[in-house]
Amino acid sequence: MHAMALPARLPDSADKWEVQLRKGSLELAILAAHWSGPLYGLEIIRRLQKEADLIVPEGTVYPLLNRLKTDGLLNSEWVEAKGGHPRKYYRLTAAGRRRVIAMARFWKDFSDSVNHLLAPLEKGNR
Amino acid sequence: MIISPIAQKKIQDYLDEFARGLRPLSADQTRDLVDEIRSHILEAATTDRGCITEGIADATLARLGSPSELAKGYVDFVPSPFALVENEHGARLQPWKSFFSQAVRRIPTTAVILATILAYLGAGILVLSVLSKPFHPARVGLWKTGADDFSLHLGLASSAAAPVGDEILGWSIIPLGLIAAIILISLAVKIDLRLLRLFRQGGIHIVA
Repeated sequence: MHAMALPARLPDSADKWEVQLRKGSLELAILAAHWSGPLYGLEIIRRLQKEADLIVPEGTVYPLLNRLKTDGLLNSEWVEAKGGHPRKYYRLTAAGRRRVIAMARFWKDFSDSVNHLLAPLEKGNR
Repeated sequence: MIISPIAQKKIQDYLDEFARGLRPLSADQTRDLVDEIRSHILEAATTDRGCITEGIADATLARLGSPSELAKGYVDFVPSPFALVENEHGARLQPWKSFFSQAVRRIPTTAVILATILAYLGAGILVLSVLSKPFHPARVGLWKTGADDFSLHLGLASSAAAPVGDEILGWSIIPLGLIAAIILISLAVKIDLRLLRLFRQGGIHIVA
């Protein structure tokens, strides 16, 4: 999606919409974050914040990771960290790879359609 | 890593309450989830100097949210028993295995499931017995053997002789037996569907 010039603060109803939008895309974001390799919980939270500007409540991420694992899209293993406590790493399964590819394809098609609809607004904003 | 005693107590209290909220799950899964959250807390709360102070512990726990709400996030989710899950080799896994394995751990549910299985078996025996009436009329029926004594024979014991007395139901034992079997099966199916609905809605928690 292209970045648009938005007002400094969204009105409350639009704010709620934004929360819902971020919530809805969280599963895709978490699966996509695992594309290049295994990650553990805190690493996922930091990557989402750094690379996608997604600030996710930590209490949301962990149950979602567990759900994705229960759904067979991720599997996990404990790895001893150097000089520290063990970490639970998550990795995409074959089913997870297929799912994230399908979700990414849908996301692209959907965002292209929405962008097409929003084009007159961008022209109007200039 | 150095943890202040107060921070350590706060973290442990948080994890204990979190574990209590996970009670519907198995002991193994609870231990795994508590270990994961502990690992998160210890890493997120550790400063560059390798210590955890009370203030940092408080902030880390606040970001996680209340332990009971966090536990609810795990417990509230129950995968559909009809969802076919693939493992990493693409093989479809049957969710029924986990359903029955969890049901076995919960006695009231297990008792109900056993009762419905007995109902199916009973209905099956009833159907087979009454349908054998045309072939073994003297072995299937309801006999009045005394003033207040009755004897129901379903033809299961081939060596048993027919009781002495009047056979009361005659051929009507066939439709009556079939109706009784249908009622048994309907009740059992209704109960099983209710159990499945509860299972899907989270009334019965399963472990994947």
